[in-house]
Amino acid sequence: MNADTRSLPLGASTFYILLALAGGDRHGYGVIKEVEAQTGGTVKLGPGTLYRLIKQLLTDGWIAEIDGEVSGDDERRRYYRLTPRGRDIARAEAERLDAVVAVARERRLLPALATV
Amino acid sequence: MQPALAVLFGIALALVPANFRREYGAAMRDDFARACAEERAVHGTVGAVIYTLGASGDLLTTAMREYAAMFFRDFSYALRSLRKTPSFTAVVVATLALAIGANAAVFSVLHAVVLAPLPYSDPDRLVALDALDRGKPTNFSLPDYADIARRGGSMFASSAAFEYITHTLTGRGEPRNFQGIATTPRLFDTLGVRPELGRFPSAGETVRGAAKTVVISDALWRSTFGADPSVLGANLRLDGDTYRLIGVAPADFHQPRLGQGFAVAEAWTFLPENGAGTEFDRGYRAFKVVARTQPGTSLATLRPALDALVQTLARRYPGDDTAHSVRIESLTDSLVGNARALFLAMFAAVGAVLLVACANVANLLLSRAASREREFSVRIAVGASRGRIIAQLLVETFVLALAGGALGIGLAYGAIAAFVAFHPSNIPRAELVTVDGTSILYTLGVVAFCTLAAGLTPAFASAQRDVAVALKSAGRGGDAHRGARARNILVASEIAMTLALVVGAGLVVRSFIALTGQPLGFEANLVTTVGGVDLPDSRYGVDAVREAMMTRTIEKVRSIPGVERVAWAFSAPFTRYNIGTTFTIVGHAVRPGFEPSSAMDPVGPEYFRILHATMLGGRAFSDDDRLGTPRVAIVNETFVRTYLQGRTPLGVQIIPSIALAADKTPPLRTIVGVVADLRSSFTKPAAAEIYLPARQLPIGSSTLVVATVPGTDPSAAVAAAVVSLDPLLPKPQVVALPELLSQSVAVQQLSVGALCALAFVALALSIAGIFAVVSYGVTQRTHEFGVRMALGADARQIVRMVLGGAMRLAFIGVAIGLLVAGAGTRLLSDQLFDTQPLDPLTFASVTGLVIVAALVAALIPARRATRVDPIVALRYE
Repeated sequence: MNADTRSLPLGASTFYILLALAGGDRHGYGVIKEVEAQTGGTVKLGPGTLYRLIKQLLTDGWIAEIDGEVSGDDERRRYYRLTPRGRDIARAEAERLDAVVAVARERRLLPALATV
Repeated sequence: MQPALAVLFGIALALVPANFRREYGAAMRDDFARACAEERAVHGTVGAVIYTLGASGDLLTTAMREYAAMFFRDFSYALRSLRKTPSFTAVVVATLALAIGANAAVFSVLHAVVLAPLPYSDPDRLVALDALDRGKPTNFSLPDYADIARRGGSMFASSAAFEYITHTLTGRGEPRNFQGIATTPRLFDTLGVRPELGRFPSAGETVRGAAKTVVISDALWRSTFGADPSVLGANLRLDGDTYRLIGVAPADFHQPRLGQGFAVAEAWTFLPENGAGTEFDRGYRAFKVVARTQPGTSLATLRPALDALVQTLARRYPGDDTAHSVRIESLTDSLVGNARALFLAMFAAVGAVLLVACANVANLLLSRAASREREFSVRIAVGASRGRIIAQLLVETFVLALAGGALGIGLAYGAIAAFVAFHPSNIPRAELVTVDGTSILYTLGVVAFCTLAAGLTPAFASAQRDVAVALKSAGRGGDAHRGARARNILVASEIAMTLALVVGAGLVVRSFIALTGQPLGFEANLVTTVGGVDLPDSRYGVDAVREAMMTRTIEKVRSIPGVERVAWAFSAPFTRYNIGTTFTIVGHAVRPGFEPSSAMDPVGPEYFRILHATMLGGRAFSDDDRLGTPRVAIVNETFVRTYLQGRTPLGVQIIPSIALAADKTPPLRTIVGVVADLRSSFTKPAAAEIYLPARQLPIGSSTLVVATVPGTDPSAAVAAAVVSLDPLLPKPQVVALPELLSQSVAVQQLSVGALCALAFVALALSIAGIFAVVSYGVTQRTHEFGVRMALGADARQIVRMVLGGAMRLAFIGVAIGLLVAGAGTRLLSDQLFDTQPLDPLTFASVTGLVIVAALVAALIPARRATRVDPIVALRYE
C-alpha cells in the first residue's frame, strides 16, 4: 500500500468527498449533489462540514483547488480536484473497506458474489 | 428563496471564525442558497425550513470545531513559546500559584466553615434564642424556657434547652472525663437528626423519677465500646450515677455551641421539659435554647411575636425588675456568624493579593510583548488579524494561569492539611475543611479571572502596534510609550492595593496587641492549672470526706519539688469551667424566684496570692476559713459595682443559694474582702463574682492552681500525685496558664498571622513590580541617558530623573490606596479591639513603609542608569 495508512480509516464524510472528486473535478455544490447521489439521497453534506473538510483536505494536499470554468450562470466558482496522493488514500480506504466487506460475506452477513 | 431562512443561515455563519468565513463564506452562502431552493422545489416550504435548520446546526458544529482547533494550535504554540523563556515562565507561574493557592485555601475554609449549610435537616428553619438580662446575653432557666416553649407553639414546631456539663465515666477501663450535654428531650428531634443506633428518648422518659437514660457519640461508642451494637441497654456509670444507654448519635452529628460553632460532646443526658420543683428552678440559669420554627414563618415575623410573648410572661410575674427579653437569630448566624466576618475579611485580603499578582504578571507580560514586537508585526504583515494575535496572547496567559492554578491547588492542599492539623479549637467545622470539587471549580474561575485580568491589557497593547513603525524600529524598542502608560497604571494600582492590605494588616496587629495587652488582674507566668479533678458524689458525697481529701491533695502536691504554692479553685481564669449562683443580699428583699445571679468560685486560701491578684479591701481567705468557722465570702470589683452601689462592701451579708448537703437552708456569708476583677477572657469583660473558701464549700469538678518555682516543671508529678491519692480519678489535664491565655486568642492569632503573611506577599510583589517597571524604563532610555551624559548631565541628575518618575507613581498609588483603605477598613471595624478603623498611626506608618519600599525598589535600577556608557549608548545612533 503506497498511501499514508496512518490516516485510515477515513471519516465517512471525508471518504464521500474523495469519492465524489474521484469521478471528476467539482465545485462545492457539485460535491454535495454527487455525495447525495452516491448515497441514494441519505447523506446531504451541510456547507459547514463540507468546507471544513475541504480546508483540511487542501492543507493535507489530498485535493487541490483549480481555476473554475465559466459555468452556465456566468459565475466564477472554485473547483476541486483529487491529487495523486488523495487518490492513493481513497484507494487504500476502499481496499480496507473491501477487505471488511469480504469478511462480512464470509460470515454470510451479505450474499456471496456470483462467480463470473 | 425565503429571505428569513437566508438570515438564519447568515446568523450561524457570523459565528464561524473570521478567517474561515473570509475564505469560504461566500461559497457556503451560495451552496446553501442552491440547496435550499432545491429542497423547496421538491419538498415545499417545510422541506426548506428543515434543511435550513440542519445546515445552520451543521455550521454551528463547524464553528465549534474550528475554534477548538484554533485553541489547541494556540495552546501548543504558547507552550513552545513559554518553554523558550523558562525564567520568565517560572516567575509568572510562581507568582500566580502563590496568589491562586491563597485564594483556593481561603475559599476552601470559607466554603466548609461558613457557606456550607448546617449539618441538620432543613437548617433554615432552625433558630437560636438568647435570654437577655439588662441587655446582656445570659442563659435561660428551665422554667423560663418552658414558658416560651409551651406558649410559643404557633412560632416553634419543636425546641430544646441544653447545657454543657462534664462527665466522669467509670467502670469501663480507665476512668475518664469528657464533655456532655444535659438537654430537654427534643434536642435531636428539633435538629432533625436520626440515631445511628438505638433510639432517642421519648418525652415520658425524662420526667422526674424515671430511669436515667443516655445517648452517646459515635466516637465514644467506637473508642470505649469497640462499636459493639449489643451495648444498647447496658448501664453506664456517669458521675457515680447509673444511666441506661439507649442510643448512639450519628458520626457526622455536631452538637451546636450557640454563639461559637460546634461543641465536642460525647454523651447526652436528659432533663424534663419543665424544671419547676427540681434543682433546675428559675434561679438556675444555664440553658441555651434552639428551636425549629413553624413552616412559613420568618425571623421578621417571629421577632414581634416573641417580644409580645415575653411581655405577657413579664406581666404574669409583676415586680420582676430584671427586665428579661429574648433575642432570636438564625442558628446559622449564631454558630458561624463570628467566623463568617473573620473569613470574609480574609477573603477580601487574598482577593487583594490576587489583584496585585495579576497586575504584576500583566506588567511582566507587557515587557515580554515589547520584546516580541517583531514577531507580532511580521504576523500582522502576513495577514494575521489583530483578533488572532489577541486570542493567541490570551491563550498564552491562560496557559500561565492554568499552570499557576495547578500549582496553587497543590499549595492549597498543603495549607489546608496544615490548617486542619493545627487549627484553633474554636473555629467551627475546621476539621471538615478539604480542597474539594467546589474548591477546584472555584480555582478554575480564578484562573479564568487571572487570564483576563493579567492578559487583556498586554494582549490589546501588543495588537495595536503600528505595523510599519514597529517593523522599522524593531530590535531597538522604539514605540514603547503606550505600553509604558499601561505599565505605570498597573504599578500604581498594585501599590494602591498593597497599601490598603498592609493598612488592614497593621490595624489587625494593633488590635491584637491592644487585646492581649489588656490588664487581666492576675499574673499568668509560673502558674499551672490542673483541671478536671472531679471528686464524684458517689464516694465524696459527705462534705467532711471531700474536705479531707481536698486537704490531703493540697499537702501532697505542696510537697512536690518545684511547687511553690497550690490552691483549689472551681474555675481558674481562662479555664472553661464556671458555675453561677443566685443570691440575696441581707436587707434587700427580692421576689422569690427572681434573685440576681453571679458567677461563683470556691477557692483555697493561697488562690489570690498565686495569681498575684490585687486585694482592694479587707482580707484574703486563710486556713481558718473552713467547715465549722463563720461563713465568709470575697466579692470582686464588678460585683460591688453592680450590686452594692453606694454601700461599704465589707461586712455586708449575702446568701448565695448554693449550699452544702448538711445545710438545711443556704447560710449567711459575710463579705470579708474585695478583690480586683480577675478576667477570664480577653474579649469579654469580667462578670460579677463571689469567691467562697473552698473548704467551706467543697463541691465537685475542680481545678488545682499551682505556682511553680522558676525553671522547674512539676506538672507530671502533680498529675501523678492526684491520681495516686485516688486511682479511680481520671488523669487530670495539666496546662500552664500562659498557654491557656494564648489558646483563647488562637483564632485572632491565626488571622493576624495570615493577614501579615498576605500583606508581606503583596508588598514583595509590589516591590518586584516597581523594580521591573523602573528597570524596563531605564533599559528603554539607555540611549537618552547616554546623550544626556554626553551633554554633561551628572549621575545625580540621572538618578533624580529616574527616581522622580518612580516616586510619582508611588505617590499616586499611595493616594488611591489611602482612599481604598479608608473605605475598606470599615469592614474590619467589628474585628478590631480598641483600635479605630482610621487609626492615624497605622495609616501614617504604613504609608511611610510603602514609600520607602518603593524608593528602595527604584534605587537599584536608577543607579544602573548612571553607569550607562555614553559611547555604547550612542553607537546605535
